[in-house]
Amino acid sequence: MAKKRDTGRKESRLQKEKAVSRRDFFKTGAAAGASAAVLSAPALAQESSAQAIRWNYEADVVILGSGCVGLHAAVRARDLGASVLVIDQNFDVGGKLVHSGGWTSLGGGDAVQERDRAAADPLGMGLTAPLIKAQDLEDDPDRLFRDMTDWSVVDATGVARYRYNDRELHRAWADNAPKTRQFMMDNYVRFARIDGTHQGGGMSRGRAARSVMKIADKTDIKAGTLSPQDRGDPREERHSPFNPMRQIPGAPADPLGAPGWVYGGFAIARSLEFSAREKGVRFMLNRHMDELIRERPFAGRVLGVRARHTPRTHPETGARLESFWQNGNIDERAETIHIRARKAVIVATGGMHGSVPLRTMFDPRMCEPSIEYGPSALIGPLNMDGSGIIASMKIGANLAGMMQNYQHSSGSPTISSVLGTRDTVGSIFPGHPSFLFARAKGINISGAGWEHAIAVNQVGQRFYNERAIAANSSDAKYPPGTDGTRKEFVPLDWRNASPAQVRAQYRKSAAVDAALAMNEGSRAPDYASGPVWAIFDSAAVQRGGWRVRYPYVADPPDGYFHKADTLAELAKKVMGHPHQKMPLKYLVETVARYNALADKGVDEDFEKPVLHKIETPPFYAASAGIRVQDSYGGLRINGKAQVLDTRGEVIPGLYSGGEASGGGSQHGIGRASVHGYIAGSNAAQEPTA
Amino acid sequence: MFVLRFEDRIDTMAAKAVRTHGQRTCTVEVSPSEVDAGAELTVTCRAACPHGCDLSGQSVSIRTQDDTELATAELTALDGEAYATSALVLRAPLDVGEHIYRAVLAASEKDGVSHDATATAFSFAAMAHAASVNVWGLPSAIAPGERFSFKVGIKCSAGCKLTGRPLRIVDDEGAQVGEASLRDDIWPGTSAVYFAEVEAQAPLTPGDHQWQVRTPGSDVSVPHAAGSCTFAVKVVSPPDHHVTVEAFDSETQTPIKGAHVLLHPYRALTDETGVATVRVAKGRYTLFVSGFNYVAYENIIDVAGDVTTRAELTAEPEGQDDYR
Repeated sequence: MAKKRDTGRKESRLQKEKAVSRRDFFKTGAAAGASAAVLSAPALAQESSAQAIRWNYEADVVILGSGCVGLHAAVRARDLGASVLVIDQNFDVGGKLVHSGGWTSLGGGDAVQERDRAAADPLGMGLTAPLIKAQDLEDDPDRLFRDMTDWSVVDATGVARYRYNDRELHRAWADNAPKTRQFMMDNYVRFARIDGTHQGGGMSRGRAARSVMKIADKTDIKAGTLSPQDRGDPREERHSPFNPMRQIPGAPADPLGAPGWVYGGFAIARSLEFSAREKGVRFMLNRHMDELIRERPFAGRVLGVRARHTPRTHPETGARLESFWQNGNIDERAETIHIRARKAVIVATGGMHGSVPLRTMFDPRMCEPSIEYGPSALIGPLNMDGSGIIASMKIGANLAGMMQNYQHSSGSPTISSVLGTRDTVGSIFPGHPSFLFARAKGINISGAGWEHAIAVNQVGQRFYNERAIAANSSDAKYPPGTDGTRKEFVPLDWRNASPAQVRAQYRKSAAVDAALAMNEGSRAPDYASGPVWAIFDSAAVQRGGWRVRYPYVADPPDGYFHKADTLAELAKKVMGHPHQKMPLKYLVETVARYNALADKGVDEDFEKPVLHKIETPPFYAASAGIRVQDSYGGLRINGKAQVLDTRGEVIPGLYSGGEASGGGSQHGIGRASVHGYIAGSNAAQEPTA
Repeated sequence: MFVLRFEDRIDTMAAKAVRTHGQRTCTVEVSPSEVDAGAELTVTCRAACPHGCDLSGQSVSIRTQDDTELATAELTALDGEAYATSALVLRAPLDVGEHIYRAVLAASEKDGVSHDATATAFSFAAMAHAASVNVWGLPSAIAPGERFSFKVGIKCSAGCKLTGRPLRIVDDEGAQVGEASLRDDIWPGTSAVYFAEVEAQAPLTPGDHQWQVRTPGSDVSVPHAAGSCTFAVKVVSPPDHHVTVEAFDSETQTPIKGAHVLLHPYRALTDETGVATVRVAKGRYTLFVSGFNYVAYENIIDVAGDVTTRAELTAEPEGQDDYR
């Protein structure tokens, strides 16, 4: 016997539309008794427990995560008539897409390529002339597929990253890229002119454009406009709850052929979210998927999920943080609930760097506990926790491409040039709730700024030429000739990857490996290396115009930025950092040595070309986070975005994409948006259980 | 942190018909164990009865060697198996050297159980205030015999006001080459760095000269230790020629203001028009021109007369920001 409750008028209306429904079954004593008495084999017990679950909600398609994959999948599945429930552990929608630059590399003859090829402006956006010549915009899926799997294209460390793109996945990706572009535009996303390709987007054609919104009196998603209030303003050191993306003052899309427009991933995230809510997608925020429920442990359909309430609260007031838009939200606060998926579950949970066991599977460097990952302040402590991957593994899913973090620079640890903040994305000003957790915007000194500072490890010793810290590898992209690739690029030509070419373009910093070397503060069992500190004096602050004040550094202090009258005092103050195990024991002598080398005019220790003495008080120690941006490797999916098990067979009713999936070294919105589009398309067409 | 277990039995008369639990153990934590004379230190006492009695509310008295009571505190919080006082703040004496104090738990009797009095001695060292001496703002290259100036800052370890404190500058041979006394104001941005601007004349012989700042100790009111700092005075041949560097952005062809020009040991910054002029002795130099957000420009130049050189700097790649 089943009884429904809490079904309000709105809920009944939605149910008529086959939307999300709340179901609260009372288990019958007889059924529960029978299962306990008769079924004893573990597999059968599991089956019975799956069947005996009291589902609290149900929808055709249940999507785990509201980032780039989740939003695309949600709107697409809803368009095809499915009821859709998106759950996300964070308080707002958008995942890390909101933080992205919005540079969307698709292609295959997509609508923006065609628009620019015709020098057209069909939406009347006031676009300038195209930035890429017409013949370099002529594209088709076959060419895109060839480019995305071109073995000969190497990055600045000689790795042929495109060679690692799974062929089935990228055939499907190329075929769906133009459809995804059109889909985005049909859901209020607007793009500036194409200005190249994103890293990893292919070498032979221009394919990437920034998502943009126009500054106007009020925010109107349908019109593509953004109010100054919602935009936030870096000159005023202010963000808005609408948009936590790093902002460039003025109208930064001017050079992208869209004068008066601003760009960023928020433009995609908010536009798709608006459209999703308008079309009846339901969101249940503050809720984390803990377990996927399948008919039998390693067989049968995926039936739904178990999910836990994970509110984020204001650190001062204790109030629960809420999403920017509320319509379509289901405010469910029960600790644990079960959600049934009548058609499919889509794992759009993002990457795995929050899980040390997962992230070290193919990259032992990632054992270092102080490594920062992803936009932790924006998304919270469950950011990139790998839960979608782990839950899928528990029901039999296979993994793919787990080594790709190692060979991709944005998946490998680097030393940040944004100093003094725990949030090494370094983009958030006060005004967005995530600033409450970042505590500081961070001081961005850029790679060149390291000329004026030294980097020391947790015992206060230098470890590398600071000026080379930021010399990281970067992926090959259109137009050829950028990032060291040959200007006379010919697809599939061996000369692209010849030793001479690799030597000519090689660029790589080993600074992070040196920083992660063990030191006197490394202790069993993990022998952690501890944080990296930028040490500089007030003369450097003056030369660089560095803003060593709130909101660039935390007030009150949070342990990531310190100032002292003397170096000896500074060496003790750093103990406020959560990963610092001992004072900077050698700092005073390190600086004395450095200053002596500056007098001598030659860095005998690390060959830094220009040295400025560190001598003028006060002195500063600012944490230079060791961070990883992206996650590669994850669930093995096929071209339909279905998750495969260890025998290569489809797990019925389970889809994934983006950073939760593996099999490609492609980065960014291009990858995730198409995966979401494919997953949403196929999930909606699953038979209803 | 300094922990000393030193238990002194103090004879007391046990009351009749009372169970005697004898001595309570008492440990004392002193922080820091070496403290500036006259500065604050904290003391925390932890006491336990071997029979596990509730000691909360009992009083601990901190006394000097001549039994002067300095502070008292109650045992309150249970910290593991012991009852602890809150951190007591004491002020160290001005006499430099080791001081031994005692934490005294008086004899007690409660609910038919008696405890003997217990005293635990603990010690700390009062130190003369240390002087941290620092020199900055010297020219990177000085001609023989040239007059030049620089700054000397001194920070007292206890943050004392140092106005008027004398300092002397001595050369490689120990001869005095300058003197000054610290100003009334502190160096901007610091909490207690007192400073002086010092003028001196460079030695007549080129080379790296190791000079020293010395400031004497003092026992007036509060003891302060002497301090010193060695620093290099780089004397080079007199400059013969002008090197003019014009720094430009290689892509936009606009001048770069504030670019750093280095022909070791000569340094300069470019002005609004992207130009810096450096006077150098003739010779071969590696010219570095660097700006924030630019890849450094490097070139070898031979200076045999006045030279003008154009340095085109390339904006540096954004690194990980590429992936946004």
